[in-house]
Amino acid sequence: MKRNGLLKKLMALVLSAAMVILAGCSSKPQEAAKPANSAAPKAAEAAQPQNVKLRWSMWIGSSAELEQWKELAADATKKYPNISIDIETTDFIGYWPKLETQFAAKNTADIVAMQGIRAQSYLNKGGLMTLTKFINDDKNVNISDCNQMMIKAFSYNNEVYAFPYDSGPYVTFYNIDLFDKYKVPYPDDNMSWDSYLDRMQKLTKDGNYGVATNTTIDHVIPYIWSAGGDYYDAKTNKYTIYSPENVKGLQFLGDLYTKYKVAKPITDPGNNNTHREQFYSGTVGMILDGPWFLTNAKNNCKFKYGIAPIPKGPAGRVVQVAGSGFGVGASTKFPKESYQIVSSITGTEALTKIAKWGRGYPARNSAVPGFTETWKTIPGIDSVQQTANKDGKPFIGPQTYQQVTEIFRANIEPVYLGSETADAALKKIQTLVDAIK
Amino acid sequence: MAENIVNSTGLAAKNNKKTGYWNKREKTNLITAILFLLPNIIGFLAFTLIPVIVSFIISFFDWELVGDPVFAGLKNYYNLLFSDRLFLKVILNTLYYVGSYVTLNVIIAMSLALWLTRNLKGVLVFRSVFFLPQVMPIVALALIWKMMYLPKYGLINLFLGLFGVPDINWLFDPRFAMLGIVITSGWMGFGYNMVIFIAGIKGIPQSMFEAAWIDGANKWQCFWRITLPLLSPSVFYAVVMTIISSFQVFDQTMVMTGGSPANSTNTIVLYLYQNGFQFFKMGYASAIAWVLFAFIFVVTMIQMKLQKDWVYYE
Repeated sequence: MKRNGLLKKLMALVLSAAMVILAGCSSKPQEAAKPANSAAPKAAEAAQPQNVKLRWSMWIGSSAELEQWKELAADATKKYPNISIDIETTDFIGYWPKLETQFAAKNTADIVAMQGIRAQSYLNKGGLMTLTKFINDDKNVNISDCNQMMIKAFSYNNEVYAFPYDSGPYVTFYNIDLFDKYKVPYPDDNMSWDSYLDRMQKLTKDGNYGVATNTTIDHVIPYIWSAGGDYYDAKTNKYTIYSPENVKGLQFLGDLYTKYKVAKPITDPGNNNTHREQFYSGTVGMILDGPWFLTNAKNNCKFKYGIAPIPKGPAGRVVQVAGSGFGVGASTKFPKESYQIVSSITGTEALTKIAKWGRGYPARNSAVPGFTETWKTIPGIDSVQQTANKDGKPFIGPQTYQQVTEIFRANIEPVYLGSETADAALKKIQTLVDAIK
Repeated sequence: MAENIVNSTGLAAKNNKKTGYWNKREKTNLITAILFLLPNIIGFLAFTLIPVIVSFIISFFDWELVGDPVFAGLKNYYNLLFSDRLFLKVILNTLYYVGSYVTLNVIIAMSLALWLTRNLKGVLVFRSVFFLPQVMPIVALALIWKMMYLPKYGLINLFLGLFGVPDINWLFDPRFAMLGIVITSGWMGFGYNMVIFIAGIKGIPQSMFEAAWIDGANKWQCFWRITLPLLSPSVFYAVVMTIISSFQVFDQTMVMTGGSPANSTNTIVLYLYQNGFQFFKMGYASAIAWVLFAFIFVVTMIQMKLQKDWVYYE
């Protein structure tokens, strides 16, 4: 009888423990293997690097992109056989909330993908580890070969926190077959907003449209900058959303939808790939995107396409140059190994591959020939480098950028629908943005 | 020993007149009972009660997930209720959703329940089929409906086109986006209430209808005077539960429109998500959660009070 009672209690306890553990369980990437003998003398440790498994977090827009990163990881492992890499991916929009929560839980990956525009808000809070010590010890890193604007975007207090892998301006991708069909002259270096509109009007027939955009702020910026405005003043650290130049730029974009009806109506507002999907269908003449789009264009466009600079606005041609890179998460247990991988996947060989795949315009001068060689058959490919050099302006995102983009997105939609003028919309956005602490 | 009265669970504390203490066996049984309840209690504490309490506390702070929370008193609630114009719009959107969805859901569920409680062939097949959307993942269904709402090639527009209705860009037109979501949700959600009504209708004794028929009542009068009043407890349950759950709509608005166009489909929980996980204003998001709770609480209390006016309990 006594035994029975004890057995019952034991069973109940085991059951409780099992259920609580199972309920709280979540799929985590494997923990790194423990070093064989943690008391080994330093000399031995230096001679025999420990086997580690690192986590690398990155956003992807297609499975083709995942294969590309896997290949770079495999190359890095060949170079450092003691390191194996686990890639964790999310879609682009979901990446940032996930990163924030990981950061709060001090559970970021060892190798963290970071965008130039968002970097400062993470560096401010100590999200990435400084790489200065490793850079000083690394004779082969050659930082001067890297795109200096991106290095600056990834620097804080004169220390570098991440290495860039790409950096490119927004350019116009156009459907050559559609242009040929309606005998419309291709976009060129001199294209102004008037001739841009003219081309779009000639393309908008039989269910085809001149242009497609999405509702993100990224697609509005080329227009407001080229109209002479800006959304943010770095000197005063204030958002300058409501200004006559910005209104001019946004109104032009809005008119493409409502007045001239040359922009394909948006049907999928929450999807930041919608303009690309419309382009793939072959029914849209032009879209704005960056050199990172080449890899998806190659796989999905069943027609000939070309590249041209974006049109010149009233204030000339000013377009954002955006880029991304990789840093070492501040909570990593293996900083040295993580740095080794970061420098490998942003080294000349890796970036040459990235250039050849069309995953981006490489952020190292030594890898640029790979890009120009591979893509020389695309008409207008030189526009990418020319635009970056001549008309590109760095894409800066201050602290509350995430919230501002959301406010922007929700409140410019009425402009595309024709229910509000750009003036009213930007005034409203300015009020909302000013109300953010 | 004779006075050691033990009831069925072995807990005899109050009955034990002799010593007032529990004996060994009662203690063992009590401990065993507690151990078996432990998994559920731990789960409840860890995943329900403690997060609820913590969220209440957080609502009085400003916290950006990273860094330390800063005490803000009632600021979050004050801003939410008195200066956040978007929240007002969000509440109106949610009320529109709740009103139309619950009405649509109950009407469809009731109609189909009436139809399926007749002696038809293959009734069981129909019941299973109509219940199917309930067991399917909401996100998958929402994505399919999203495609159905596309202008020009989407099924909905093709169907309406047969009647001469011009193309509607459902999910990007502020006039129709929320309506589209309501229709989708109605299609997804009526199955559960239908099953409840079927059970309720089956519980009505046939003798009632026979008596009415003898007195010369027609089908319509039977429905209004017999079926509906006797079904009113089920209707009450269905309406209250559907209102409570529809106030918390999130999946459809997140997946189909993300709150677009121009925040016309932004609902309370989606707004909470945006504030918590896109802007990282944890305190503000927690305040939204508790305001939602207050809403649902008040609405449910009102319904409970009103039930004696229209719910007929035998």
